[in-house]
Amino acid sequence: MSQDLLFLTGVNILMAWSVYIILLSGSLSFANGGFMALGAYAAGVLTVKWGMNFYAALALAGIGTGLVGALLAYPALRTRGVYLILVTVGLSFIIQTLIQNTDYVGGVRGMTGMMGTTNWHVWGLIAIVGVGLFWLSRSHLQRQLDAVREDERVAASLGIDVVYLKVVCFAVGAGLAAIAGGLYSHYMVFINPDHFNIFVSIYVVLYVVLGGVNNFIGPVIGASVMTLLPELVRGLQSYRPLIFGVVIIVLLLVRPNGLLSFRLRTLGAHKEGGA
Amino acid sequence: MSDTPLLDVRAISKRFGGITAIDDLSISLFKGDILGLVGPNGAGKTAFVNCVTGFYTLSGGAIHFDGRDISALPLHQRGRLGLARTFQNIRLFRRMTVAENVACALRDHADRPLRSLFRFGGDAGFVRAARDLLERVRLADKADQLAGSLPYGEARRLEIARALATRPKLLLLDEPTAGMNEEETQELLADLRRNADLIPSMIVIEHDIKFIRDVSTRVVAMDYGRKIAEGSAAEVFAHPQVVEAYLGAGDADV
Repeated sequence: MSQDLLFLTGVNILMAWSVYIILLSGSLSFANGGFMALGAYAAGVLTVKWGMNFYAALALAGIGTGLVGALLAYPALRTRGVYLILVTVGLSFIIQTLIQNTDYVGGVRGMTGMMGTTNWHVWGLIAIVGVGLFWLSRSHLQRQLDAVREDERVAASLGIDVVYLKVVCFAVGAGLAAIAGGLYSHYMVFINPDHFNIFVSIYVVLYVVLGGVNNFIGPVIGASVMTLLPELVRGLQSYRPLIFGVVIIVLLLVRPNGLLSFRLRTLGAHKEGGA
Repeated sequence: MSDTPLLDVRAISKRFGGITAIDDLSISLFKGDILGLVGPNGAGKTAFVNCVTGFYTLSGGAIHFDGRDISALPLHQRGRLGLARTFQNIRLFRRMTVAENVACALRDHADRPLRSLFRFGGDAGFVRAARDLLERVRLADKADQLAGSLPYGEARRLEIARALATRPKLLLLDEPTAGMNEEETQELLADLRRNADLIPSMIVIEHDIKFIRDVSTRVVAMDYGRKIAEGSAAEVFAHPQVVEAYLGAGDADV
């Protein structure tokens, strides 16, 4: 596998996890392509224009975007279900348009000069986030999030602060998407707003839905399969969206709960629950 | 028993558009009370529970609980103050296990969820606490089953155990014996009695008049969103307005 493909797979796994983390609290976000853009540009500005250290820039971009995510989440989470989805779609467009109109970062022409990301960075971060998500999957927090996802009103009546958990998940998911964006821009050297259009957000949500939303391995499988599958049929590159669409429809018919649909139990036997 | 009631519902009302579900209703309850709430379907009993626990926002009036005005508090804060409930149409977390349903509500860990990420002691404490509560409702052997797979009667008991996990000061049961036969109803009554140490006070909505007689210290009857009678079970069930509400106007012979 080429370095580029390995890199792309890794970034897509991180992005899929960023959607998965927000989905833990029951919200589906189509804004993560936008958060990725914020991180890509913020980290780029910090390293290229301000001469900041690569790691510090990544961390700052992640934290900053996480805070932006939290601020946006409060009003956004007043809406639910399909309305929240539409709000996040709107966010994606807004962020892209804002960047297109910001001359400081090159506007539609894009920005260049970012470098430094290697596959070690990407896959090292995957290892760290993966361990964190595994740890989470055995925790009381996971149990409360599962309760929120099943019935948020009932969960709240048991004393669980649903809004707080949703905002935290939204912020962490946005932050992770931003760091993935920072890694992306410092690998690609050149980025423009079109790299982060709404299709990025849609694809990433599909990775999670197709891979499985009930455990943290599902998004990894989904992102890997959907990144690598089109590469297997290189001769058909121009048919990539078509292949994507067919795979989605087939998978939703054959495995509507994703490729890996089991849920990890937070208590007792660590075996698979549900089918 | 102190002078201030644990729950003081002051002239509340709840309207949906032009429909009045609760109309100028006042009910107070002291620590140790077990209040039976009766009335025909649509009388506003469940709406009352929804208003107290925070599922509905009030159209008017005020609710004080444990010395605080909780009228404007969100659901989770009322839960933390000590209000817990079950649902007429059982609302378990069906894809979680029986033990997880109880564990997620455990009072000692509810308030600071993020802190649980920094617990390195394993989950023995959760397992023990959940098992203890499940034993109390005779479900310990089902701990690892999915909640959604439980038969009706067991699902109702799990809902009670989940509510008790929050260490409530007031437990509100919405038709706990609906759909149960006589034997199951008696068993549930025994369950509630056996766990009286965890149920300081209780409000029970029930159609089973015998159950209400057996369990409550006081009974309130509602009709059309209003209180029509209050007192001992014998008094309330003999009250002409209650008889009329259940059987319709005319000569009733109960």
